[in-house]
Amino acid sequence: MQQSLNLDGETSRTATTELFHHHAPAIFAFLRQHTSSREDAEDLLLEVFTAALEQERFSLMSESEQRKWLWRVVRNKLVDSYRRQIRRPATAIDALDEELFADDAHSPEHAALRQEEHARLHAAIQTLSPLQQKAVRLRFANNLRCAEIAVILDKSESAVRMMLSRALNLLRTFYKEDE
Amino acid sequence: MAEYENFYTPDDVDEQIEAFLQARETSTRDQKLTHDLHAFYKPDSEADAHSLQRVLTQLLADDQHGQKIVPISDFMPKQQKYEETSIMRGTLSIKAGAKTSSTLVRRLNILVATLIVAVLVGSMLVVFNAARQSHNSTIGSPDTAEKLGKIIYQSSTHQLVFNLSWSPDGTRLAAHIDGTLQSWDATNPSNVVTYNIPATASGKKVFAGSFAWSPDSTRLAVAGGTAIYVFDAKTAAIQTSTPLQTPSPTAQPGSVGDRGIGKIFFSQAQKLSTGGLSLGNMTWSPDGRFLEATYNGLPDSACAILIWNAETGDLVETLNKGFNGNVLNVQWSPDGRHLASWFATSVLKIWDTITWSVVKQYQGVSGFSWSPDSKHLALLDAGKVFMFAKDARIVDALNGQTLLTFAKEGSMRAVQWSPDGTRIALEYQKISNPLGLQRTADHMKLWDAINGKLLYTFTAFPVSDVMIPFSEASWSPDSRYIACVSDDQRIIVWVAKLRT
Repeated sequence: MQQSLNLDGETSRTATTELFHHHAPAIFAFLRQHTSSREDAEDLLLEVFTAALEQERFSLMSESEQRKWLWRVVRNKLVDSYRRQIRRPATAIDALDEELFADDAHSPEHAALRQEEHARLHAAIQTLSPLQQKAVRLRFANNLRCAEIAVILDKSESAVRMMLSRALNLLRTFYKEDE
Repeated sequence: MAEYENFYTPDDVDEQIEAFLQARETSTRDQKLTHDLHAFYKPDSEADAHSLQRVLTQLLADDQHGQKIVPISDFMPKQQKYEETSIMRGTLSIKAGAKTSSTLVRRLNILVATLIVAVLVGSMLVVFNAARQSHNSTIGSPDTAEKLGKIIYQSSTHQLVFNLSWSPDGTRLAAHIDGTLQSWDATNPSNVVTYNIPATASGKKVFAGSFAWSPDSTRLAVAGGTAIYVFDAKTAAIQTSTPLQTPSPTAQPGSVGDRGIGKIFFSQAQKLSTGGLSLGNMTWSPDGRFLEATYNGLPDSACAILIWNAETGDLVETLNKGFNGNVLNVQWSPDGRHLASWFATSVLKIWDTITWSVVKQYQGVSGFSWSPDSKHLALLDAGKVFMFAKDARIVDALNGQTLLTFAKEGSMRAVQWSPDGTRIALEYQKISNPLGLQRTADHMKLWDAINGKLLYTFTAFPVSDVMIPFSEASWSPDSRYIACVSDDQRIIVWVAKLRT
């Protein structure tokens, strides 16, 4: 699906929306993994797609070139944002920690804990390695397949397949014990 | 540690999850597990959906104010403006960052301004000097002061230059510049010809897409949505226009060029908003008989290499059997007997251009170029980072035997064999990753095609850090010059081989 952005009015909006729906979910999932807050991820996502709209060459690229270009910009923007973080004074980093905790308090896991039926599942997920937890979250929260998760976690697809199948095999044993 | 079972298998885990999620009941424990996980992460999923909607709304609001290319210098205030809106949302981290970064931006601006002045003065002296030396001379004229890497021409900066290519007779250069397709005398950049695709019936502008010089340099074939247009190179008059949906009536029934198969292909292809298809990688066969272009659609099986009879406009071949990835580059062997096609899956297929069968296939390729005698290929071996090569190789094109391995420092993104066969130009890519590790590389390097030794490193311009998965350079047909595009979008012609 190649998107033509250099068009007028409604057609342009449709093309932009199509382009966004096609690429943004996976890119946003990636940015959420690598940024400390949802707002940071949203900011970077907007910057990436704004850059795409401003790049006239973009509309002439094939779909795969567009995808590669977007991911290149995503990674560049992320590096820039890390540099900005490093340059922040110590007090700002403290604020960042607070921000992290604040974000965690509103996290879906936290909300789920309040529901009795999910408490055990939450405990089971906690037994997974951090990377396995990320893979499971990307699979079930973001509905991504192993190939897409591999890009986001910077692992090979076969490694993700192995990781995810192991995680699920472990999680299902908790269900067996429940029954 | 709980008991471990191998119920979910690495090969089928995606399909297993999808099957359980699609099941309505939750009677088995795996149905229950996957539904529970789905429900568990539902708040996260919904929050992400809201985030995406917020960003899309903002994007469309920005978009409504009109799309235009914004110079880098204008981009900074816009970023700051967006950071301010983030502060409005009460994001502490952004707030702290904005203050710091605005101070930094001011300091950087002063530093950059100072550097720019220094570079400008320096480059003016260089250009003045070069202009004085090349005054009244042409590219083909003797010049005893010539040395490797000397820049004999550079344009002013543009917003965007790509598909820079030398005409086969060496007199003209053509490129997409700031949205229009142009050609100009290599020795006289003021002699510019612009090629315009006719607008649609409803008046919508159609962009001139991928293009190719005819082997005799008199014409340009240009992809223009619903048709391929052939322009007179000098006058820009349209000589012929070939509608895309015309499979050959003379093709043998059942062959890939068969009208029925062609029709099915075109009926499934994704149409451009202005009509027609977005074609890429237009090439003209060396004997002038065929035109080639690629179509990359979704799914990957919808990708194809299309071959037309250049005279009649008949579609003679639709190569797409077994394709499972986008076609990134296609080049005819100089003798026209073979066609090499490189895919996003890092596969390189060599086709026989009479039988249209694959005669050789390579894996793990991230770039290629034919030797001028059509016997060898220069290949880039795919590295781990995206598509950037870890080394370069020369192989026997048809039996695959490696004859020479060189450029083992990696991070190349394109390879071009010189037309005289003596040297190989590699284009390099700056690589950065989320960990902040960064490796700067030189713009281009010239390697000896016989012994694989480094001959010259062209460092006059910084390497682009925007990922561009294709070449931005073109050898002059006499192998003396390379025309390339700098990161600040200037067209540069430099000396790549001294007169002997």
